[in-house]
Amino acid sequence: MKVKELDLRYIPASCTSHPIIKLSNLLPSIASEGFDEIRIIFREEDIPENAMKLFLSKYNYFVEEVKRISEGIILMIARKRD
Amino acid sequence: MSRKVKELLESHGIPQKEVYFDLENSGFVPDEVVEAMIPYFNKKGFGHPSITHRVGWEALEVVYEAKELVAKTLGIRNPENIVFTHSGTEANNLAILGFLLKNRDKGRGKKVVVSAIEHLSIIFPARFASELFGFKVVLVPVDREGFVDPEILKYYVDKDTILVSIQMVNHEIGTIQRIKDIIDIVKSTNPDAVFHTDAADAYSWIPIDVEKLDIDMLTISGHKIHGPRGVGALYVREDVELESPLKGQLSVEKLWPGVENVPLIAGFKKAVEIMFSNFDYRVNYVKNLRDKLMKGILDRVPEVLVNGPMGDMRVANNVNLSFLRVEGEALTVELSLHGIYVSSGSACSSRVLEPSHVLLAIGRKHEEAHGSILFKLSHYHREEDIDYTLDTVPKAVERLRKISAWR
Amino acid sequence: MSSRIPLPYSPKVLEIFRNPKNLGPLEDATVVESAGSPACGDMIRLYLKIVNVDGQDIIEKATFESYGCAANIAAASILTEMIKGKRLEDAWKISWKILSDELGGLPPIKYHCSILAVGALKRGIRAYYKKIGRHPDWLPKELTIEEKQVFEEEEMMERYYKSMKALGGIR
Repeated sequence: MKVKELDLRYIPASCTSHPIIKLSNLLPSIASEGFDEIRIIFREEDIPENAMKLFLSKYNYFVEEVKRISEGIILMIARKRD
Repeated sequence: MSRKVKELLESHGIPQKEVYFDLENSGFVPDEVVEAMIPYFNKKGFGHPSITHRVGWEALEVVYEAKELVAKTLGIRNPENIVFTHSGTEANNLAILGFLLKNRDKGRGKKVVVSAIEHLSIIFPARFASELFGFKVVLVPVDREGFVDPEILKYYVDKDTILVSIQMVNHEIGTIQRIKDIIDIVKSTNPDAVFHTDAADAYSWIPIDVEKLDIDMLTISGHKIHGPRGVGALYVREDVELESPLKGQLSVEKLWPGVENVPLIAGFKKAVEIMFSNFDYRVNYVKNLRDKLMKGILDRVPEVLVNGPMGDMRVANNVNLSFLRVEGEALTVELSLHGIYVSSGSACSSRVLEPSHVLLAIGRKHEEAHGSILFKLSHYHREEDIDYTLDTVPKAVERLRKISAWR
Repeated sequence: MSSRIPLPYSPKVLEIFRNPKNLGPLEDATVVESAGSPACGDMIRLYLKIVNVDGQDIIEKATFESYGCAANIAAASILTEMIKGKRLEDAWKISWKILSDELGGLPPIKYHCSILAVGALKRGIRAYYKKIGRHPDWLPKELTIEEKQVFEEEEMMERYYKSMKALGGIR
């Protein structure tokens, strides 16, 4: 099973490396490369939980697990469903 | 400094045929607009519009006429709710910083929501204010064509959201946002949130009615409508309060100090008249040229990607393509040598050596973004300009692909 | 779009850009090395034909391919001109600054173009000596500025696209 891990916590917020830009930039490639599972760690204040779920679903990744790692940090595990 | 540029220009030479497509960044001002401006430099109305003498009142008349005209074209009830600044960038700064400054005491915990593909004159002021006052700025992602999904946006807007700014048309990839749905979702989720839209690339290209759309603030820009550079405007709804980030002597504008640039405003007014005189015909004319150019290049040049949507959800004047295996800045120089003037979203043409955030946000890989070229069309372009471009671009791309290390 | 910076190229850059010399792959190249990558927006590939004449390693022919801005293409082309006929020891001495000056002085934001070209050259020279199993005294064991910088830029792109391992304690 191909797993992709994305850590969106520590990206310097320059205009092109904002967590949202990075996610939007990489997601199409991740989907086309056929990863079965994505694990994303991110700050809730950057991306609301439900927004993240809906956004991933647009690329056919459906969130199956949500863990709160620490204050305001979420780990989401999403799996591909066609 | 200037000697180097002089030598560069000499070396470049003036190509026999020239087609200017870089209307995104600036453009020529048509004769009629220039003629409308000239008298206000030295013949009449060159006074300060807030001084009580005849020449000042002549200047004031122009400012009021311009506001009345703009109000008519945007469905604005009260022309006094329009503020003239000196650019779209300033208007955006006034909207964002002005609103956040006024609400600075609310700072911590309050949210500002903007799309991931906004112009930097929205994103940077929002970040700046957030650093100063503790607001949280959140970016809403867009899909692969640049559309904001209202369903996703809904999760970003909550009781802590005080300002939302989403552009009507994207300046780089031409995406026409579903702005009515977006505003409806924002207002139904939080009726108190203020909605601003950067309409610099939408104004005179799609119909806009601020009342019908329930818009609280709206930005427009002079040079985007074949007006002169140096003038922009912000519509601010009656009940929205701002504090100007700029301080100084006030004139007509309570929210932007400094003397209003009356000749430029006269030019702006003329530009608005021209753009709105034959709206549908002009938009269709340009759309046809756009489609001819886009299809023509896609037919003649292999390995090209379209950035942004196709068809009716793309603004009529925008063609943005990524040419794989070549780099954008090299291509702009190559095309310039042939008299075709465009710009690129590549890293090498940016101050921070990063490719355009708009292209990254729609999922373009870095190398795809590096090869992007933006053509902006207008009703001043002719078929023959497009034909010449279709003849030239394939050869230019081919030459650079032969040189390219990316096989 | 992004913030722009004025780029007053010298006429030399334009001249070379219009008419690059030593373009294209070299059939009988001794070594082929590149620096940068498409993701970087900057990539130069150098083909070097190196011969040993009277005990000296000489660059008989050099050609290039370049993906990048006008300055990048000009830098690569002019470098191949500069190193033709030179001993490797002398070619090694060409720094990014010397190359930039040859181009009429690049704007500071374009220094990375000459750094990349020189980085590719140095990689080529190292590759040659590795190939023949020798290590001359003048060839430093440590990476030069140009080589380090090129490496860093490539690394940065690699890291961006590769997965970043989650920190411990999460599983």
